[in-house]
This record gives sequence, C-alpha cells and structure tokens, in this order.
Amino acid sequence: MKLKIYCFLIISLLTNTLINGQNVEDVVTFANKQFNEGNFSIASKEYNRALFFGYPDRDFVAQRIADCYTYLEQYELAGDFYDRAYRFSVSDSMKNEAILGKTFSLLMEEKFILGLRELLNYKENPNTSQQASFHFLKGISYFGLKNDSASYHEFMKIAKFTPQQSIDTLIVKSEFKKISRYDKRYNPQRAYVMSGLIPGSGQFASGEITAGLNSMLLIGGLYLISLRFMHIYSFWDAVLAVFPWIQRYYLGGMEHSKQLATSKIQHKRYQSYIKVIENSAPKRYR
Amino acid sequence: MIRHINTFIFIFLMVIPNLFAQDDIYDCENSKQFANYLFNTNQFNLAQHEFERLDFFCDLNDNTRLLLLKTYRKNQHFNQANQFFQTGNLKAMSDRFKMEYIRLMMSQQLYGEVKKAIDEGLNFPEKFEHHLGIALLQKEWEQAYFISTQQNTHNGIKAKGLVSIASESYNSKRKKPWLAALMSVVIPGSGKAYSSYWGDGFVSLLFTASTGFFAYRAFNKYGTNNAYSWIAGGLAVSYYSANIYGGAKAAQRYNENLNHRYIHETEDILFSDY
Repeated sequence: MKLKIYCFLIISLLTNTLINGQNVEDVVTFANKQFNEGNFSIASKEYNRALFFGYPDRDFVAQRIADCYTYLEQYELAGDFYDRAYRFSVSDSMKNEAILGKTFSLLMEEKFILGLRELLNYKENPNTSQQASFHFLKGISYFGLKNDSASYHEFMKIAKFTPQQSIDTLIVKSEFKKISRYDKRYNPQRAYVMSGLIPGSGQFASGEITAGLNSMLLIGGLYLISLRFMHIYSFWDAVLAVFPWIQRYYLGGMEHSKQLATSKIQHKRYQSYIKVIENSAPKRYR
Repeated sequence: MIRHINTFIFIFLMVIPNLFAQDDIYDCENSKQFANYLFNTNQFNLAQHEFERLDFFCDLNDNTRLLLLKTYRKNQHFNQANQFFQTGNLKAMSDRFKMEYIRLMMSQQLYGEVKKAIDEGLNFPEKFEHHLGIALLQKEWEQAYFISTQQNTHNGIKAKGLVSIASESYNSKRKKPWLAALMSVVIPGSGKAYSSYWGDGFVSLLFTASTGFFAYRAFNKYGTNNAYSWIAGGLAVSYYSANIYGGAKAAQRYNENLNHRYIHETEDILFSDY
C-alpha cells in the first residue's frame, strides 16, 4: 500500500513539474515566431504580455512592440513604445534604434520638426547602419520643411555609410539640381503676370495646355463681345456690360495659373524626392 | 517515528511541485491585470481581445466589465456595447455604468436616446452637462440658455464652459435670411453685404447692374419686337432674382458658420474626457 502511495506521489511530482504554466521566455519565443512570420498584431500582444509580466529585456520587447505598430501603421502607438524602449535601454546602440524608430513614426505622421528634434537625442558612436539611417531620416525631415540644401547634404552623406549598397550619388545630385530649378521653371508669380498679359499663357508655361486654351478662348471671346458692343453701342456700354465678366474670368484665370504653377512645383518636387529616396534608402527602409 | 517520517515525505512531495511551479500568466487574475494594462496604454484593440477572453473563461467583475464596454466604445464596436445595455436594467445599474451608457449613446450621436433617458429621470454624473450639451449640439439655443439658467452653481470646468457657450450662442446676433432677401430686392448685393460677404455683394451689384444696363440698352435700341432684347432682359431678370436668392443663402451660410463654431466648442468640452 505504502509503495503505491509513494509511486502516486512521485508521478504527481513529475507531472506537476513538467506541466508548468507558460513563462515569459516562452511567450517571447512565441512572439518572436509571430513577428518573423509577419503576424504583427498577435506578436504585439504577446510582447506586451512579456513586458507586463516582467521579461528582463524590457528595451528589446518595447522596441519589438513599437516595430509591430510601425508595421501595422499605428504610428502614434509605435512612437509611445519607442519612447519606452529608449527609457528602458542602457545601451547607446539600443537607444539609437529607438530614436530612429520614433523619428520614422513622426515622419510618417508628417511631423517633420518633431522628427528633427528627436534626432537631436542621437547618442555617440552609432554603427554605420544607424548613421546611414540617421542621415536618411534627417534628409526627409529637411525635405518636409522645404530646406532643400540641408536635405541634399544629408542624402549625400548616406553613401559614405552604405558601401555595400549601390547608392548612385549622381542621381541624388541630378535630382536636387532639378529641384532647385523647379521654382524658377514654374515660377507662380511669373505665371500670374503672364496670364495677365496674355490670358492662358501662364497655364501653358506650367504645361497645362487644356486649361490654357480654355482660359484663352473664354477671355478672347469676352474681348470680342466687348469690341462688338463698342461698335454697336459705345465704349462705356461695352465696359459696363462686359467688364464684370472679364473681371471674373480674367482675374480668375490669373489666380488659377498661379495655383497650377504652385501645384506643379509640388508635384515635380515630390517625384524627384521619390527618386532620391528610392535610390538612397538604407536597407532597413527598403 | 516511521509514521512521522512518512508524513514528512508526504508533505514534502506535495509542497515541492508548488514551490517550483510558476505563476500561470494566462490565469484569470493575471489576464485581468494584463487587460487593464493594455487599456491604460491605449492599446484598445488588444485590450478588447483580452477582455473578451476573460469574459469567456472567467467571471468578470464590474470593473472589468466596464472596461470591456469602454474598449468597445473606443474601438467603435458599438453594437456589442449596445447589446449589453439593451439586456440590462439601466436604472438599476451603478453610476459608472449609467455614465458609460450616456457616453456610448453620445459617441453614436444618438442624442435622442440620452434626452429620453434624462426625461425619464435617469440620474447619472454630469447630467446637467449632458442635458445642456445636447441642446447645444442640436442647435436649440434658446433651450440651452434656459437650461443653463436653471442651475445657479456650476462647479465643474465642463459645466462652466458649456454655460458660457450657451449664453454666447443665445445672445449672438444671427442674420435674418428674409431681411437679406428684402435688401437684395432694393439694392442688389446688399443682402450679401449685410451677411458680411462684402466682396460677393460688390460683385453681385456689378453683375446685376451691368446685365440690367445691357437689357435697358437692348430694349432702347431694338424695342420689344426683337428677340435679342428679350434675351438680354431675361438674363438681367435671372441675375436679379438669383441675387435675391443668393442674399438669403448668404445669411443662412453666415448663421451656419456661427452655429458650427458653437457646436465644435461644445464637442471639445463635452467629449474632452471620453
């Protein structure tokens, strides 16, 4: 009888030890697997669980949660967790990663000044990958703030830190050269004056042929009508009858040509930056 | 002696596994704390899943149930939260649940439901604020002013802010569309100017005057037997009448802008702690 009782107790002890509750290490292993498989929602929850239940590498887990939210495009939450990762971390390298992540989240929300401010916290001795990312994000921030020369210098520095990548600095140079010309090429003020002198010409200068023709025909038609009125009635008759129409469409056309030129500059700048970014993005952002 | 040794071994074997066994982080108590953490860090999607898991496997206490309802609201999963309140007796619920019901209805812009609850005598915190807030959100300015004067002491920041909006919105001068239309009949464009659209008013005056003059000259030159005169006349009349309509619309637009400003201010205050 006693033997039976002892056997029972020993088996009970063994099974109890084997069937333990899952610990935080298991949770992190599971979360890592989900993260690597791209299941970021599940991964973020499990990393959160590990963080809450005292997983020792809090900086790593917070960073991973932030990365999950970045992939899920929830940038505000991502920013919160990058901040936590920064606070929890004792290593400069990890802190730099957190800063890069936070800056990226801010830039995705088009908060360019805050992005630049975040980069001021950058720690010394970053590795080359971090340095490349640092200049890349700084370049984008300056672009957002329309400081093209500062942006150009930042993009040019990236190639220095990414020798393994084939970054063509010539593309960067040529695109920035184009960017510097867009303001002159599509000068909104010039388009405005041109439309004042010859209706529609401002639109033509911005490459908007249909809008230019439309404006030219409309104002031209109104001029012909006023000439006809002058012929039939008198000069003042023509002024009184047609002036309000001309005032509306003539001034409207001038304003429109200015707007077209401005949006053309924005569009061209955007296209050039896309080329620069595609060419210069460090590996982690590709 | 042998019996004591046996007892000791028995107890030892029973206690050891518990000493080594770790806390199960998926048990009810731990899950509850974890769900609270997710809620408090604004991770409402994850919090909802965790609360729902808790709801299935464990008994939810009032606090946890309330947080689950809040996560539904925050995630805009209103139907699930609505179901809870539809099946329960609202009057018998605690103040916190009543308040959550009010917030839920307000978030869905079901102001009528909140009004009904207030009329039926439901008592809940911030009742005065919501009563007044709904009147403002529904553009019932006079009613809002009346409600704001009902209570002499307004202690909360919310109440003070809403009372000030009620007073300002009630006392602000709105433009009268009929007067704007009438003014436009007398002097074209003056209705728009009265509604603070001075530029539009001036342009309307120019347009109407020029088309009128154009028609006058046409009739003068060609008489009434010419289609050209009637086309010019028709154009002038249509401009003139459209301008009357435009004057009334301008007054309405002015009032709408003003009302929207008060509504936005009310929303900012009323929903500040939702």
